[in-house]
Amino acid sequence: MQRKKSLNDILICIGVLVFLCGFIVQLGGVSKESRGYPLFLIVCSVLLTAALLVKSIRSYKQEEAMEKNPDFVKTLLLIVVYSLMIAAYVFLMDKIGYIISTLLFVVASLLFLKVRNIPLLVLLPAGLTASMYFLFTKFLLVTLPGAAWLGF
Amino acid sequence: MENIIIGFSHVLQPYNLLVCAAGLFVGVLFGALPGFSATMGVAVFIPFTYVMEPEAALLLLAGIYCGGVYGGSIPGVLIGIPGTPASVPTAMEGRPLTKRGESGRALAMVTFSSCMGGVVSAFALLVGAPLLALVAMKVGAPEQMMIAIFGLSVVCTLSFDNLLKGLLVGFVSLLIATVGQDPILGFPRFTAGFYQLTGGVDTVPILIGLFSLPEVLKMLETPEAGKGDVSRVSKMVLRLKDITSNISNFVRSAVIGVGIGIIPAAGPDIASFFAYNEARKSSKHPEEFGNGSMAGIIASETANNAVTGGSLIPLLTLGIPGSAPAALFLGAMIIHGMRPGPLLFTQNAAEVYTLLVGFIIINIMMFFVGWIYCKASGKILLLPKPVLATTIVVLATVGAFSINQNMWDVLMMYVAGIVGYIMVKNDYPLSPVALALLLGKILEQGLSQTITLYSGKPLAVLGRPLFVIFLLFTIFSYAYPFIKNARDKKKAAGKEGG
Repeated sequence: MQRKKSLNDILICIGVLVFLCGFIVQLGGVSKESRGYPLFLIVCSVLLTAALLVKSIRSYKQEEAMEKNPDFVKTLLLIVVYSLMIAAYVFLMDKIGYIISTLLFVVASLLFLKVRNIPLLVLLPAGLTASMYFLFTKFLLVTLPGAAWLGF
Repeated sequence: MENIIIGFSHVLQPYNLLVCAAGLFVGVLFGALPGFSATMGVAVFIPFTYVMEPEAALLLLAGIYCGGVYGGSIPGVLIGIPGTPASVPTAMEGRPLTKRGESGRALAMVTFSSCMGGVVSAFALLVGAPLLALVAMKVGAPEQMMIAIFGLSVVCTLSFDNLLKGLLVGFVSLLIATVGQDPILGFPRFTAGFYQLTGGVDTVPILIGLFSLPEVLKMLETPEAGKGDVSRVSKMVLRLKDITSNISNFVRSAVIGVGIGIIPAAGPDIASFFAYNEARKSSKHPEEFGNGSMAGIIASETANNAVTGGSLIPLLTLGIPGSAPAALFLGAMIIHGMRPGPLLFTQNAAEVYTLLVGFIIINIMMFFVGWIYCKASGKILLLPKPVLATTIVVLATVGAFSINQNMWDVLMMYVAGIVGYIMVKNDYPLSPVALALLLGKILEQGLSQTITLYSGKPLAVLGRPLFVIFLLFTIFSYAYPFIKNARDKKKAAGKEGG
């Protein structure tokens, strides 16, 4: 698989411009008195993004396509799936509660990362969940998320 | 002098020494946990001091405060996740050293530098408090604005090799810092309809995500990620050469730390970036910065711990709490029947001098407590990567949640983590995000107040001596990377020609 390095910068610049559009659209709702400073920042950000975009497009035309690591797709998939696992953990935390979601996430994470040691698969989820729970709730006086879906 | 001796006699009582050590142990833990800070530690433990004698209560809080500022650097060095924003520069230098198998050397220097910075600030508090308080009185909105602009010059220095990307990250982050209530009328802006953004973007969850998740995702990239890689834990060694070659760095960073400490609204995070930037500018090997520079660690750690004493100077001498920890100390002192201000040193001499002398002792004790923590936490490197990655995710998630106890912060942490990973993979620097989010609000507030104060007579602001000093520093700081680059090019051309 071949890909040019500048392509990533081009895509990032487009993403940043879309993000900045969100600020530009909302600028009308900001009072006149406090509009100047963010407007200055938006203008500077747009100019810098445009400069980087132009630079990246120029390099893209001149740049040789570079050989990617043969494991690139595999690694990318690994990262995307793991990111989604974290997203699911974050989403479920206040739905099924800290204890259940953390136990599930730790087991799933270890299995995903190819840990097959049974004692570790049992002890780490239990130990980590319990130690964090006691540290945060009993010592640091933080109320960890309850289980909204389960009614407690 | 008599009061200082009384202070020593109080602090050196076994019970008070025990309280100092307990405060340090608790404080380091608060600093090391992502999402927690020295300020939170002090806040949580104020109720515990109700039943204590005033001297012991202040010593406990001082121990937590000093330990908390120091503690953030331990996870920063070991796993690249700074426990507090003030440890970001330390993490930037400490993590590469850990990857090279020099974690012990880095942690030893972190501990020593923190101790040195803390001791200097304690002496500043003890000896120069009244004089420094006068300087603090001269700091107003224009000076705060200029300090923020000066601080942002670090972006230029840190990302000079890739200035366009560094500036872009800096400006977009400054823009993100404007989300929330505007400083003039207090109306919400740029919230996109999310009520959670009305109070602004919280810096800490962003920084937790930015520095923790990319580390986790990078662990997955290496082929041995699933096999349980065991890193080598190096021995804790303090090299004399590292110290002797950085004497001026120690002094400069301590002065910066104390100076920043006495300025209202500026804290250890700003001091560590300032000192780090100055260390890089004056270094003979600037190329080492970002790749495991000992000078960078020394600058950052000395400065952020030197803030601790400095931040209490306006409180103790004038009764003005210039920072969140100082405000908490004010509360604790009032609870124990003391009223900070000019009369404090005569009406409550015993308690105050116990605190001042206690600061020196606490910072010396911090070296030993820190050493114990570093020895113990160094074992974290022995954990297999799957265990470490999983633990980091859980810790970052719970840490982000615990800041305001809401899931919004966790979501922000997650988004910042994914964005951070994309940035790291495409050579966009992360440090400007931290700087811009920390300084953005101070900058806008200072700017709007300065405009209001000096509308119609803008040049009158030049009548403020501190403003002019900061302005000159700022001009020099922005111009320096370009001057140095031009000088280096000239030198290189001269060598090629000759």
